[in-house]
Amino acid sequence: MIQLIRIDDRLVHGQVMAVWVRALNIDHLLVADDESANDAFARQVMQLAMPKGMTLVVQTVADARLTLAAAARDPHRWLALVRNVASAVRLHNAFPFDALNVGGAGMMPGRRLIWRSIALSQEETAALRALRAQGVDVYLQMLPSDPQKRDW
Amino acid sequence: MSLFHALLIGLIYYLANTSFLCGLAYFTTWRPVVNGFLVGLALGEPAQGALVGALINVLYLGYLSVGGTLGIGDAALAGITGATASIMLAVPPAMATGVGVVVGVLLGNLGFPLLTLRLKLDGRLVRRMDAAAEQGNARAVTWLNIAPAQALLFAITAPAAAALALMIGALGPLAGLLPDALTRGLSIAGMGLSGALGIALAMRFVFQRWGIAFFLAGFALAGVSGSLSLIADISVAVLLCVTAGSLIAILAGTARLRRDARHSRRLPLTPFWLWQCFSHSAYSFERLQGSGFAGALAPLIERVCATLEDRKDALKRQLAFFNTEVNLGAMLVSIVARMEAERAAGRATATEIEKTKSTLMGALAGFGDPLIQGALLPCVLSTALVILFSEFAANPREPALTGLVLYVAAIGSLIFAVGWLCYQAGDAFGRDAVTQLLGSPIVVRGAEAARGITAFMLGALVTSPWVVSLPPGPPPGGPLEFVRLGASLLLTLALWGLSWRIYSRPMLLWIGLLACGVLMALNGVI
Repeated sequence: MIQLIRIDDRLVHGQVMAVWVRALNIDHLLVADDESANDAFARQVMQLAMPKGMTLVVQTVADARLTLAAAARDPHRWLALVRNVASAVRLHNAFPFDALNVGGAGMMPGRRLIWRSIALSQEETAALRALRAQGVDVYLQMLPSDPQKRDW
Repeated sequence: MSLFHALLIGLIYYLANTSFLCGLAYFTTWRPVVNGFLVGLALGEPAQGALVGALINVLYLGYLSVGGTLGIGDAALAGITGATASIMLAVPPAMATGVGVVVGVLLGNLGFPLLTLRLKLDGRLVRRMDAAAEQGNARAVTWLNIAPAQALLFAITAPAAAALALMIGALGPLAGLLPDALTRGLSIAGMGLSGALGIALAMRFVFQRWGIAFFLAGFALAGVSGSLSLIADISVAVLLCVTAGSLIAILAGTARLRRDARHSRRLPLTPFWLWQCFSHSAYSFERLQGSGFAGALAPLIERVCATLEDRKDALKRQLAFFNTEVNLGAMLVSIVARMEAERAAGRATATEIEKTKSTLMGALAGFGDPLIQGALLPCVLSTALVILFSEFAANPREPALTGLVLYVAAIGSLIFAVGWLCYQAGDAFGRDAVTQLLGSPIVVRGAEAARGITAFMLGALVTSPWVVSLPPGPPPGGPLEFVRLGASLLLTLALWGLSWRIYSRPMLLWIGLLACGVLMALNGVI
């Protein structure tokens, strides 16, 4: 079962590992990110950051399709991370999902602060709107205890 | 409440957030157990302040703050206003503690708008840092992160807490007009019920596979021995070991890392101190710790960059969004400092630096937040709370100084040791230090041990009538005492079970407990 699909440019980090994983009782983590999948050092440190009992899969967005398709049917509890909106859109084209959590998008040139520490460019906002038009429930939320923001 | 006392309370709230305590404020003065005592000291009732602070802290035992968020409210504001309320409100002395806890936890929610305000205003400061970077002015980048940022923090925190203190003082006499059942209900909820929720939430976030066994062992040992004093003695030993172990680790670890280091010349310590103190000084939504990182590296950038253009680029690069676990993050400060020096000498590229930073900050936080905030801190805190509640039981008129002093000594030395050794290790081994640390079986076992100890201490805390008591009130003694212990255990376990269902809104459970307290009072339970 896929518990959460999240955009977070920090990928594996504190909010995910210390809070979400425990709140949702996650035991399988999928990082769908081309850059990490092609970087042995990044894969190694992410693997080392995993607690005992957690299975980590790092794949390119294209490869993640099969993993998610299998994850949707298996009894494990999956959390999938993508780095940015573009990856999320590609993932949705390969594997349609119905909810998307936007949890981490740091300020960068070309981006505007949307809500708290979530910053998006105009193209990214438009892409998320397009996803929403396709029926995906897109919400901004950093932690489970934070409100889910849908009017962005 | 005189203006002077209100200002003192404002100062305590600033101290809870200040960067001038070497990065340790978040682990010491920010915790209700410490700031409740300080407020008590300021208002002339240190024992009462410490007791309310400790009780509020039980609710925040499993609390984590990650990436500019607050879980269930601002613990510091809760401790400070709770201690103030319990001393200033005109309620019968027997109920002042519980009522103080409730008022504090409610007012702690005001921490959300305050944090939002701070992270927004700091954004303006960061844009001034951007402007300084644009001119290649490294000193201004460091300076803006220190003085103006701390002045702003003071201007936000101190008046807010002082105003709340004045308000509580002004409303104090009116508290006597509240219906007796309501006052008694809130008192029951604050002392005896909400502690069970705090323990349940901590169980939720700290327990691993065998957690429940350690928890029941702690409960049984404390229950059978009839008080917390036996476990408190063990706890004193644990905290003394943590303190001594941390100090030894600083000395021995430093010597060993310097011996094995790859470079004969060590990095200066300036970036370490600047990071350790001011990592969160200008904490903004836009960049989070990016300002702290740039401020820490700016002096080194000024030294190693040959041209103005080079310096501008380096400063702008380090001002980018950054977010990691602070203490493990010290490792990244030294790794990136070395890389900047390499790059200035033409042996590394800007892209490599950015990539290293973004890859490692996530992994270090993903590993570090569960380790520091999810294992080490709850371990030291719950161990110290056992000592405190044992002391309160022995003498409620004294502020439980043994527990307080040992808590500050143990957590201060432990956290400082982590930051210091991480900086030294990053200096000695570069990015291999990260793989060594994350792959280290000692660290992983240490975290497991810390979680086991926490579970044991949480079990022991359930037996303290101050923390959990069902039915509420003083322990009945005799065989009835076992009934009370059993009911308290069941309440805690039930809340633990519920917390899995209502994970996103722990405050709902707490409000439910308030309602239970009032219902009990209406039905004359005590």
